[in-house]
Amino acid sequence: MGLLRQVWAEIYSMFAGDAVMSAATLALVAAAVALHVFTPTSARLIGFGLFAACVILLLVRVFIYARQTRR
Amino acid sequence: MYDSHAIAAISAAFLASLVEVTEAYTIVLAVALSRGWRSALAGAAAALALLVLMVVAFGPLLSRVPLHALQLPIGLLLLLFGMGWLRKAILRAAGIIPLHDEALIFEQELAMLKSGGDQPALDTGAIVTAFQGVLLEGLEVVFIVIAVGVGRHLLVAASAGAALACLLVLCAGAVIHRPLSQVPENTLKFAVGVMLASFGVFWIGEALDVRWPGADFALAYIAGTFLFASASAAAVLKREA
Repeated sequence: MGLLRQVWAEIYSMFAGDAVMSAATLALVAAAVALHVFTPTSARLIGFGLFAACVILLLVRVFIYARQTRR
Repeated sequence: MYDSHAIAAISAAFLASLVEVTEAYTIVLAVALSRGWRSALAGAAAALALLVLMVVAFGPLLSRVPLHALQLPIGLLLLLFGMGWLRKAILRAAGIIPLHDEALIFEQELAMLKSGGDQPALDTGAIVTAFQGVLLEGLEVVFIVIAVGVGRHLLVAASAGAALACLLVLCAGAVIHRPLSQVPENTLKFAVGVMLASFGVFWIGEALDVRWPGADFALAYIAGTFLFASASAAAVLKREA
């Protein structure tokens, strides 16, 4: 059981080490899919929008963590 | 011959494996020096066999799924995983969280294992420790090999890249018999994080019918942007420290 728990913890940390960032990434991808399916928005615009949003999200999470740690 | 997409996929598997095998090697070495090589090698070999079995079982199974159906879920997992590695790599490069210190981890493992008392020829505790170490570090490599390999029939090539890294670390380890603390783990993690996050964005885009300008070359400018943004963030944070 201990080993299984460790394997589960490892898998969890692989994808959700920063739970807020992972949840926000999921939300961004869900929004991109919704835009693609339900609106006539250009696919290329959605793709580049998602890309830019992911880069910004990464930077925001890094800077928030840095500020919290240094406080 | 392999195209740029394939080279990036194989490189990601190779570099990720280099990082993870280095970490696993530290644990196996500590087990070997404190509780004997037989137990350490038995545990490591069993874990390796299980990891290979995972690739052999899940890889071909997923390869049967049409590419378009795989692009969104695998792209999402790659994006989550890549951004996670990248986030940690930026924070380590900026000195906000400590670098992965193989020498320190080795000493800690060694002290913990030595406190376990006398050891028989095949020591269950030592086998389990080596098994856990290799299995837990190897899970990430298995995921990367399958994720970058299934889409474009690169499973064998990505596995070969990972196996080559494994062989390199084992050869280096067999020669020096010390933790491989000179391996620039954070730089490698930085590179792998950039590659996986880029694959993730690229694949999700393809699933949403995005025609990336430059086709496969899009991976290069996506990766370049992630790299520039991450390296800049690390530099800014380091200067603020």
